[in-house]
Order: sequence, then structure tokens, then C-alpha cells
Amino acid sequence: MNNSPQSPLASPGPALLAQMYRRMAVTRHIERLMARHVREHKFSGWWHPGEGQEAAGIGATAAMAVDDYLWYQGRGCSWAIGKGMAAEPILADLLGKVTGSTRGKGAGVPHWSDRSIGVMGEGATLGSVYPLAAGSALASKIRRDGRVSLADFGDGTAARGTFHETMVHAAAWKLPLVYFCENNAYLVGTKLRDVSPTENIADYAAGYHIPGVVVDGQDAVAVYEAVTTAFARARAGEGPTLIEAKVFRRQGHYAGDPQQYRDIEAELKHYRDPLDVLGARLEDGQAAQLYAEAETEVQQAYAAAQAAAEPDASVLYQDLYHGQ
Amino acid sequence: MANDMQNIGYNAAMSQALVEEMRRDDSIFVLGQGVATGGWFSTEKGLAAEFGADRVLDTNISEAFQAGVVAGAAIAGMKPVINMGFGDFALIAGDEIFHKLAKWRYMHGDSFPMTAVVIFPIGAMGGAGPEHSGCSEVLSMHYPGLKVVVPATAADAKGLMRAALREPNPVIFHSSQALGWTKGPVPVDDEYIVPIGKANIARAGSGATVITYGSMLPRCLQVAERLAGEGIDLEVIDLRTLVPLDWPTVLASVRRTHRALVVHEAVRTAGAGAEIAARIQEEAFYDLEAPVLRVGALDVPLPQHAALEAMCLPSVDGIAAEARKLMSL
Amino acid sequence: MSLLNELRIPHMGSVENAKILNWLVAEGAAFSAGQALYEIETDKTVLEVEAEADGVLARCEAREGDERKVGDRVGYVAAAGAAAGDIAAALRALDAPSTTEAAAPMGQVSAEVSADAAEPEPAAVRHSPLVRRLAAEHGVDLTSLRGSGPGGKVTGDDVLAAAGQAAGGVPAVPGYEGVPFHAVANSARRRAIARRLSEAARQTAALTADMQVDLGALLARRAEVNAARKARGEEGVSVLACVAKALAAVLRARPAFNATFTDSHYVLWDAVNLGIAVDTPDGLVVPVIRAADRLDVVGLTEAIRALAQRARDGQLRPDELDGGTFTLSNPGSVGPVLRAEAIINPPQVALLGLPAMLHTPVALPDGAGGYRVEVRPVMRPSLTFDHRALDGGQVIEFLNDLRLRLEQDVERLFAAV
Repeated sequence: MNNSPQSPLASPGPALLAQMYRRMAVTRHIERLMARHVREHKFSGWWHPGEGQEAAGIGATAAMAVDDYLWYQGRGCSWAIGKGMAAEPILADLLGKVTGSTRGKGAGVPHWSDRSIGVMGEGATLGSVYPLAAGSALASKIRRDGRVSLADFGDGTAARGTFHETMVHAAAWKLPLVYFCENNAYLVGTKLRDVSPTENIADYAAGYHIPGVVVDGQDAVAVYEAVTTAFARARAGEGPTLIEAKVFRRQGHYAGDPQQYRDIEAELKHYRDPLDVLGARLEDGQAAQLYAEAETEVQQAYAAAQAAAEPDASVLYQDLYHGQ
Repeated sequence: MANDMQNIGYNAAMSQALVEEMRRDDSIFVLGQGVATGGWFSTEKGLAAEFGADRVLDTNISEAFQAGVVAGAAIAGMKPVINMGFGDFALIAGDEIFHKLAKWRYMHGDSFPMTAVVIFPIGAMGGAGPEHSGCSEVLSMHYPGLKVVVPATAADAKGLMRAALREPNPVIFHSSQALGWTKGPVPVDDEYIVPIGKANIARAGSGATVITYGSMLPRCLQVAERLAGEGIDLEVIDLRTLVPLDWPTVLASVRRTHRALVVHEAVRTAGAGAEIAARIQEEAFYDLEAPVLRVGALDVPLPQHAALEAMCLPSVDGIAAEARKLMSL
Repeated sequence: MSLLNELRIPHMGSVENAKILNWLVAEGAAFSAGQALYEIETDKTVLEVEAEADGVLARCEAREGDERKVGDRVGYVAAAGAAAGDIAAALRALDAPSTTEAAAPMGQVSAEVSADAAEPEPAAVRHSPLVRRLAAEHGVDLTSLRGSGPGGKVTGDDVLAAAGQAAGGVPAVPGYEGVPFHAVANSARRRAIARRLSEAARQTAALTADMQVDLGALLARRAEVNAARKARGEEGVSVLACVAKALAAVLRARPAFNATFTDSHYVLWDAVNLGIAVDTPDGLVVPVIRAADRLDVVGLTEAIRALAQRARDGQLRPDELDGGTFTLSNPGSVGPVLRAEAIINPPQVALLGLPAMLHTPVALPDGAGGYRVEVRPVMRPSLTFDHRALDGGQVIEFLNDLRLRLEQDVERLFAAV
């Protein structure tokens, strides 16, 4: 089942671990804040809580270079934060303010982007991520710039036709592309096992003659190691890898989802909070201190985002074309 | 023919511009079915031979992948070109073209330069059937963020291809199936460019304005010649670009002639002609002697049977009759 | 000869309109030549229409109070001595469609009238948007126009031809045969202006009254306001707009001046739609600021500026020229003219003209029972008014009201700017 090739694994050093933890804590504080905000305010978008799945995004992005391309379609904001975006533009985007990374255009359904650090943005049609990521991977291959592209998606999106159309070509052309599936076993409210022929999404890899790797998605370091291996393979011109991280979706599909399709109490018995798992690797007291710092940072970012201006009608025709 | 002109086919002219630009700009690459083996863009040497397998890629039959990889590569700073074979296939790649390519920059509040040329040949070929013969250009008009060109001559095919490859915005290039092998005078100049957004008055006249593009241009010019003998002097405008549409040229003409007829091969209902006619009457109502008329294909899927197909498309006789009707109102 | 003849209102000089006041002969009664048959009220006076010959009044068609035009039929007469029974039979025959004989009209009937009777009812005419616009712009009456388009349709070219119809050569002016000249054909706009002005001159009883206004306080306050506005990067307020603001308030207070006078009614307009006279290369136009009383002086400044610009650029829309209830003219802006009397803009009843503002020595009370002379910025607005509608006393009060607002109530003009 685990097809990971034998290669030396690089583990994160103490500085990187601390940065991962801090970013995971920032992500978690944003989760908590958004859950409250959506309850207390009229929120014009949809918030898809990612609590419990943070290790996937934090661990994977820690293994990516700043100019590697990230195309994400997951829940929460662990990928954008992990890749290096600050809390303030992310919160400002969610609140629809001009200080957001999309300057007020991408409010609601997050489209956080910062191409200067490889956060390419998000499309709202699930499954659009595959060919887009293959596009940047192809660009890298033609330019020989050594960059790798990662496509993040959930188990529910793995059945899209574009998954296959893209991987057929990526594998044939040995594109520097990594597929990263966050499998929380639920497609909104449908159990994955009812609509999938295989236990693991990673099992599809065999059909493309590429490695399929299953990894513990609650353990950021395990994720980091798997992605490091896959990226090394891609940079060496050996082609794509399909990584599947088993993650736990702590909240509902959307904020306010009553989750009647789940026996949440039973499931919670097996839940390992990724913050705890990662925190256990830090020095004594370091986790608590980083957690507190992250909370302050998020509170300040939230206050700044709330105080920022809303876009007015002058933005309506901006960003339609370049040069206009 | 003068030394600076050559008599070549429409598709060949497109390919000529592509090759010339690929020589100048190594961020341009081409993909599609059969491009490496020279299917569409036949040059003497072959594209792959000159530019290498990295920049000329054959793909599977995967329209969604093709369009999506074009969008992703363009966002990542390359200049991809894809020929998707048939305008009808735009529907297979709908999300990738009309959401991703068109809307990505707007959704993310960042209008960085993004060059991508998606070639969608449109129109009937004489019996190719309802899923290979359609004209999808109105879809491209309806999703703001794209530019849309519709050359009707070989020279314009070359000039607009160059313009599209230098345009910092995604361009849907609707070449004409019917005109693909029509030869015409094309400047040899390897800087020859036709600006996107500029219509051409193919025939000046004073009695009525005929607004058309693509495969219908030759038919409209034939109609104009025929009706000149009947004392009707038609002005024929070849739009060349649908987005952005050259409204000033169209409206100035209608204000002079006071009558307008839109002719396109696409199905009449909700075709590009509907938008053009609506806009003319909005902006030039008090200059009109008569309502704006439209000619398009019948509101049916095009039959595979070539003779039946011809009955559904605007013919020279049909266009002439509509023009005469316009003059009688 | 038929028993019945049409009785039509005779033509009398330039009279057009005739309102039937009352019949002086009863239906069925006989009359003799010279006897008054009925009374009408025309544009100018009341008069009686007399019978030209002996006869019997067979039928009255027009009723008292009906508005008619000269040449209209008002009834039927029968020859003198006709029997009542024969008359009745002839009337029945007239009413039955299949046996109607064409009744020969009696009396002076102009060629126009018979031509009208001979022509068939015109089919429903559809004029294209182009034709309607050109007709409105050039003052061409479409109802009488023959079309050269398909099916007799009127085309834009037909309208332009009618508008630009130069009658061949320049009319000869008696006594000037030996004087060299060159002539320019009048534009349609010029001819329309001439027609309107002579009509106004003919129909209204126009007089003009002037009053002197000291603009010192207004100018001082305006200078303050404009300095503050300039410091904020805003445009200044014009003197014309200040006068317009005061004028609009006076019109609100004195609605008789914001009105139209008809034969039967005095129509008081509820809206103050202020026309601003603008000179253009093609003649005078008067674009209208609708609801001018609702604008402040900043709004009025901008509205005046914008309309004047569009007027000079020839870009006014038809709806911007309609609906004016009062006109403001500003010839003083052109040169140091002392008096701004003007021709009233029908169907309005008055017009305010502003001559030049001049610094003039003025005698002011010195507080000790005498006078001192001081140079003051002074203007003498002229109110031209239709005396049929307005009397002298009202006019003087109007001007005084305006003067007081411009001299003593200056603050209110600049409120909120």
C-alpha cells in the first residue's frame, strides 16, 4: 500500500519545527476566530472549517521552496499560511476588505493569492486545480527552472475527470507535479467508501505507474517527509507522485453544518489534534509560548482587517484585462 | 503580386505568424492533438523539428486538460497556444476557458499580463455534423475577461495571430473552418500585425450597413455586388474582433446609412447579432429608418447530411433577400 | 341642384379659429339674405355670420361652445321656400350612406377646403425614429409631408429637403434693383426662430419694466464663498447662478409669472423649469433647467455651464428644450448693454433679461437727510411681460421682490454651499 521509494528523508530541524508550529497555531486561531465570526456576524461568503487537518497544509508547505508553485483547493487556511502568507491579508480577504490579497474581489470563498511566494490562488470549481498545476509544472519543465508544482485537493475531488486527464499527461511527460490529497473520508456528507472503489485514493497511482504514498495526515512531520521525497523526485525529472494524507475533519463541511451524517462522538475517540502531535516535538514550554504569540498576531490581524475599508464601485472594472 | 505580398492559405497564414513569433519569444509554446506531427500547422520544417519537443507537445484527446494547462502555464508566465480543433469542444473545456482563463485575474484582484491563445475553429465544413460544426463565439463574448477575434481573410488571420501572441490577455481565436484553405494576399512582412478591436470596412457604401465576420464575409461581399446591380449600395463591415467590438466604426456607419443588417453563420437566436442589433438600436435609434435585421443559421442543430446542412446556413440568396427586405422597410 | 347646401364658416382675413357662441336662427326656420345666422368668437373679437341669400336652416351641426376653424361646416341650409317634408327627406337621404349625394358647399369656400374634402383619409403613417428626430430638429410638420420612400414612406431625406427648401432664388426687394448684394439661404433653425418670434410678437401684449439692483453685497459674499471653495479645490459659483436662485424663489412666491395664458385659462405651472437663453453659432436656443428651484447656486452654476456647452456643441436633446416655464436671458455677458428687453418665449408669460453690471455713481442717503455719491456695482434687470396676463402693479412687485433678495437677503442665496 505504501509505495514510497527508498530515499534519505530530511527531517525538519528545530527552527523549521518552531516555524511550522507557529504557523499551525496561527491557522488554528484563525479557525476559532472564523467559527465565532460566522456565528456573530453576517458573513457574505462560505467558510469551510479546516480544524483538525492543519498538519497536511503546514507539513507540506514546509517542504516547499518559496518559488515552488502551490495550487490549493482545501479547507481552512493552513496551506496559504504555511506557504508564508500573513494572517492580515487572509482575514481581510475573508471580510471582503481592500487590504486582502485579492483587494476585495475574492471575499467569502477564499481566493488568497500571492504569486511572489508561489501561492497561485484558488478556483471555486473543485477539480480545476489539476490542469492548472500541470500548467505551471509544464512551464517549469520548459524553462528548466527546477520548480515543482503541488496540487492540493480533498478526497471528494479525486473523482473529477480532470484528475485523470492531467495525471495521464503528467506521468507520461514526467512533469514536476505532486498531487496531494487530504482524505478526511467525507465528501461534504457522503462517506467516501460509498462512492470509491478503493480504500485509498493513493491506490489510483498504480494505474499511472507513479508512486502512491499514504501518510498520517495528523502528523506534520510525516507529511513534511513525504512531500520532501516527492519533490526531490520531481526536481530530478522523475515525474509526479500521488500523496494521500489521512486527515480528520474536526468540524462540519461548512460553518454551521449540523453533521447529522456523522457519529462525531465515536469518531472523536480517535482524534489526535495536529497541534498536540507537532507540539510534542518541541522544547518544553515552546509550544505554549508560540501558541500565545500566534493568538496575539491573529487578534491584531483581525482588528486591522475589521478596520480596513470595503471596496467601492471603482473596483468593478479593475483587473478584467491587463493594460486597461 | 508585389514582392512584399504572398498568396497563401488562411491556416498557413496563421501558422506563419505563430512560427515567426516563436522564433522571437521562447516563452511561446504550442500544444494540441497532432501538433508535433505537423497536423494543423504545417510548415516546411515542422514545428517540433525547429523548436523541439519541449515547445511543441502532442496531447491526448483531453480538452479540459488542454485548456486548463494553458491557463496554468499562462498564469505561471509562459505563452501557450493551443488549437482545440472545433469550437463545439469549448463546452468540454467550459470551466477551464470561461471560468479559469477568463476570470482568474479578476477573482484574485491582480491583472498581471497573461498571454494565452486558444484557437477554436468554428463553422460548418460540409457534413461534419452538429457536434463539429457549431459556432461558439457568442459564449466567448459572454464571459468578461477574454478577448475574441474572428478573422475572415488570410491576411487578417496572420495579423491577428501576431496580435494575439503579443496581447497580455487571453485570446479566443475563432478561425473559420470554411475558410481554412482559402488563399489570399498576405503581407510577407514578419511584423505584419492587425490590432485587436478594430473592424475593417470591406466595402464602402451608402444604402445600408451590413455587419459580419468570419465565414460570412465572402457571402456578404457577393451580395453587395449583386445588389449594386439593383441600385442598392451596401456598406460591408468585417468586425474582425468580437471582444472588444469596434462600436465606433459600426455606429458611425449606421448613422450614415440609417439601415443595418447583421449576418453571421452562428444560430440566429441569441447569437452575436442579437447583442449587435440591441446596441445599435440603443445608441443610434434616432438615426434609423428601419429596424435592425439579423441573418443567422436556423435554430436547429446542424444536420450531418451536407445538403440539409446547407439549407440551415445563411446563403447568398438568403442574405440578399434579407437585404432587399431591409431596404423596403 | 340638390335641395341641401352645406353651411360653412366663411373666411375672414387672417382669422383661423372660430368658437360657436350661439345660433341666432332656430333649426327649421327661414331666413333672409343679410340676416345674422350665428355668432362666433375669433382670435380677435366676437362677430355675427350673415346669410348670403334667403333660405331655410335645415340642420345645425355645431353646438354652442364648439371650437371650429374657418371653412368648417356648421350645418345645412335649404333653398328658400323648401317644404319641411322635403327637407326632412333630404336630410334622411344625407344620413343614409349608400344614397348620399355630394352636397355642394355654399358660400366662399377656399380651394384648400375642397382639396381637403377630395383627398382620402391618410393610412396610418409610421415615421421612423430618424424622420421624427429630423422633423423635430428642423421644425418640419410631418403631417403635410409627402414621402419618397418605399410605399410612400417619408424618409430622412424628404424631411431635410422640406427643411432646406430654398425657393429657388432670392426674393426681389422693390426699389433695390440697382444695389449689389450677396445672399445666404436661411437655415431651418433661423426660419423657425423667425416664425416663432413673429408669432410671439403678434400674439402677446409685451411690455418691459426695469429696476435698479445694487449687487455690492452679493458680489462681496460671493467672493468669500468662492475663495473658500477654491481653497477646497471646488469650482466657484457664478453671478448668473445667484440671480437664477433668487429668481426661482420669486417665481415660487409669485406663480402668476411662472405660467401660460390661454384664451380660456390661466395655467399656473407647478414646476419652475428655467430656460437659459444661449447664443450659438446657429442662433438662439433656450435649454431648460428642470425644477431649478430645487438646485442650490452650485448646482445652478454647473447646470447652466453644462447646458450652455452642450447648446454650443449642438448636443442638446429634444427633451432639454421643452417644458420651460420662464426664461432668463443674460445679454450683459456679451457687452455693456444697458437694457435687456427681449421677446417673450411662448407659451410663457414673462422673461427676465440681465443687462451689463456697471460700476455707476449712485446717490445714497447720507443719514443726515441728504445724499452722498458713491460708485456701486449696479444692474438694471428688465422684466418683459405679457400684459394680457400680468398687470403693471404685479410686475413692479415682482421686480422689487427680486431686488430685495439680491440686495438684502444675500445669505439665503448661499445657504449650504
